[in-house]
Amino acid sequence: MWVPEFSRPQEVHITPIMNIRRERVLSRPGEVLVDLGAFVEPDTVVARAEKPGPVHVLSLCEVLGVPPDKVKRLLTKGLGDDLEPGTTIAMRRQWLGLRRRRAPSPVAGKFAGFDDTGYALIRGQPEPVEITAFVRGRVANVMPRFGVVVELTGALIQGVWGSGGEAAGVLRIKVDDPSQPLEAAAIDVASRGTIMVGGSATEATFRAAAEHQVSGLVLASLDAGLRAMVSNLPFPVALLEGFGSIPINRPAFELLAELDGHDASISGRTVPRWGRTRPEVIISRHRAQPPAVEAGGAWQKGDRVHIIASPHTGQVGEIVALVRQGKTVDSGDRLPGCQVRLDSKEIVFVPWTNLERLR
Amino acid sequence: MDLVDEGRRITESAIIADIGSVATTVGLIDVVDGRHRLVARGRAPTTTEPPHADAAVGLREALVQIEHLTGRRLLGDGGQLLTPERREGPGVDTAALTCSSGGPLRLAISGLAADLSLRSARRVAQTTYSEVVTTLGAESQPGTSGHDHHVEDWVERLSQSKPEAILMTGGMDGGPVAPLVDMAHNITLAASVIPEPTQPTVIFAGNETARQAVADVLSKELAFKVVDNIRPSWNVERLNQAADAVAQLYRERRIARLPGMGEIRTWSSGPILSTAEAFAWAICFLAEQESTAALGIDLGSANLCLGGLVNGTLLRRVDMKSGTRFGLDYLIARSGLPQVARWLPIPMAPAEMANHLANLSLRPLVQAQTEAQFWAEQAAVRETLRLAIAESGDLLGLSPQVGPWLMVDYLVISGTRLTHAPKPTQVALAVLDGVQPVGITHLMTDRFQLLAPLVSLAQTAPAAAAHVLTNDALASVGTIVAPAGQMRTGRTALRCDLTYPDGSAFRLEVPFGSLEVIPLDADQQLQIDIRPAGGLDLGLGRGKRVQTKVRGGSVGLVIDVRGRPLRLPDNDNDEERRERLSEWRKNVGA
Repeated sequence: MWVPEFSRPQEVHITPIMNIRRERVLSRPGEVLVDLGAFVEPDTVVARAEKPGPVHVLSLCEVLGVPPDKVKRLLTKGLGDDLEPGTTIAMRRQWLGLRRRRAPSPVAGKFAGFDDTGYALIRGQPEPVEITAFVRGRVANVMPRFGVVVELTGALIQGVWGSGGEAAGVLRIKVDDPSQPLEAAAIDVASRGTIMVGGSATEATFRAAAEHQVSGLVLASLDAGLRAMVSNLPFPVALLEGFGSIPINRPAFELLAELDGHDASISGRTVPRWGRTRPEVIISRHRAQPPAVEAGGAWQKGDRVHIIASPHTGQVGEIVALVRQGKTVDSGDRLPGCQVRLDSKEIVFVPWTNLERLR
Repeated sequence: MDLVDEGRRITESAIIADIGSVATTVGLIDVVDGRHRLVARGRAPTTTEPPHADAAVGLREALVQIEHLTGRRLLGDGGQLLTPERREGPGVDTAALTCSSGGPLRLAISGLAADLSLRSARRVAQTTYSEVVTTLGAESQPGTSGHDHHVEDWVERLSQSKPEAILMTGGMDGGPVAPLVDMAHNITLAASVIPEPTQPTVIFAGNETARQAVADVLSKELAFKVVDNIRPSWNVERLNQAADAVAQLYRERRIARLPGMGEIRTWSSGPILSTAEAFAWAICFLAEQESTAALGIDLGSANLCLGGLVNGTLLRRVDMKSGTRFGLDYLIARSGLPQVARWLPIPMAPAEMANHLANLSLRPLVQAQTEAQFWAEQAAVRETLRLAIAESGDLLGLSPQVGPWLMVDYLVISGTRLTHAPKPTQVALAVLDGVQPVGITHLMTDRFQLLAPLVSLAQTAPAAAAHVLTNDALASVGTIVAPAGQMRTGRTALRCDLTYPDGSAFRLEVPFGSLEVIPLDADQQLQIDIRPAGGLDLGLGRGKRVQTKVRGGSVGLVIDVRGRPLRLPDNDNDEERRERLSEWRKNVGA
């Protein structure tokens, strides 16, 4: 029997107002384009770099008709020199200089390398890489050459799985109930540029969303068989509960309904390991002061929790008793956990590992 | 109490720990009644990832659990492990760790022949936590048409894949040198476009005659290392040195650079080994102790490791794509959902099973609370084990006479999802279904998931490590008797005479298709004399009699005459299939 005595709870943010900081950094050195303290919008480009272009290889031996050890002294360009298509990299004079054999660069770029076997490497033109602010906020920190930290006060709703990149748009709730599917018929020309919310979706819904150019979709759950299709959509999707037929948890639904019509940012990026990242929805809200951050710490009575596994997946409640010695569950295992009073008032046992603390 | 040997103080107490992908497990070893024993265990989520991004956080949490259990202080005021043990009690003499957290080593392989050197290079890559990010093949040889294009292709591939190391192979000893020198030039050229701090290390494991010439080219520009040729001749394969070199790079590039490892290293008396290599050495130790063949299977959340001594050869294999959590998507893509679902003894719609497994891959810490979740997970475990054995057939040296079946004297299972099923009979049945061993096999489990770090401890305190390994770390499940072959269901397959040490005996005739359990405790032995029917083989040949002593365990003696391969009714006969699975569960008490 495995008895995980985990005292450090898993947590999920479904937070109406908090200080949020997001790092916006390049993967290679570049240039930061905004100043400390600047106000930025989600589509403000905050930093830019250049991604090295493709490498082209040229056999100077073959072009010039000389052995490898003779090539180096025929070079007419040095390492790092800029090149245009046709620029001579090396040249051989024959017949007392009357004939010249040239080795021209095939592309515009830089002379990147050369080796003893007579090969030259030409690096094609770099491609620009930009990173945006993603959220509306203020530049709170600048990391020279790499990026910034953007800070804002707002709502944060985290999901568990997503696909696609980042986008911004107006939040739109087209369902009245957390379990109600988002129908294709609810998506029309007015949906363009919006981040739409629903309990679940079908293939028809996704097609309609793509056709009408929504900015993103926030769903409670999805059939696992649709993952491949969703991963190829041209906009981000964030699932709040997981796979199957699970309604949006009540706090998230109520918060999203409250923020219907607000500008929002959505990220579908999901990295389950080696740098764990969750999909999220962030809505900037202007208030004088968000509530003080509650310290984490071990599980305790009164904690609001979100259940993340069967048989009560997606439900929310409050811890009313700790059951440290464990309880034998339907699977036959004896697991430590707690008694949770659900919002429906039912009291159920849930193992610690199957809970997230609500923040 | 000090244990003193020839005037030198022997290590009394130790902390051993394994930092896994999902969980960090810690054990306290101390002297009890004059012998080293494992006295307490703690476990906490691994914290190498955000939001903590510090392996020491999870390690400390597990140590705090041990402090609470034992009342013994292990951590100082600054959160550091107290070493050595103080006379007043706090602290431990030494600490030893293993690790499998962090991403795989990004490895490129290059070779001259796809079915020789490159195939062996892939096997080297599979001996540790590494991922082959690109393969540089034999096509770019001088005089070959399209040569420039292939060099350009190599440059682009290395530039995009960003390997941390290149395993360069090819050529039999004494063979031509020029192709390898050309390959070395191409590698140098291709690596020249990679920024210097991130340039790969090259491990040359090819034609030994070419070593100097290759070194002359490569060592000027790149970090370079030479090991034995992995294919010195067409029918000889020598992977160990290359495997050790890649494992060393994994320790340097991955383990050492994990957040928090700088501090943890100061606690450890010796190098921190990878879990896979330490696990393999632990099983080898067991095999050598018993002068026999032993295989270990460690099925973790993120990968599956095979290790041991089979046919006199050290075996190490890591499958980075198999795992009880992060490997589920790949399992379904590789086997297909119906193949996984056929192990379900309860009705479950395919979509429901797919959703269950997809959710498990998102929530690695979740534990099965419902029967449906439990059996979905167990079905995935069985199929993962079956695939692991099937795909490792050549490494395991499976007998062409007996068939593609695993035949070892000892089988050790590790991995929480497998070893901590609610009942030991469920563990036994999962192994029987998935691994399908043949012959007479003693089955044990890595009781506390601490077998691997004991090998790390052996570097500085060998006696303590050996004693805990043989006395505390393993739990006997029992002995499996399983013949290979098929015959008509219901006909007598085995005639068994079983004799207890006190002389009492009984005879058993086991029909084909059945699964029988004879209770036998871990400290009990039984003399067995088994005569299989003509078409069945217990490892000595078809119909050959086997006489031996077997040991018991938490389950006992399990006689599995369901046949090999294990045949289930087609997925079209769902009800019949579930009935068969339920009957087997009932037979073993799972």
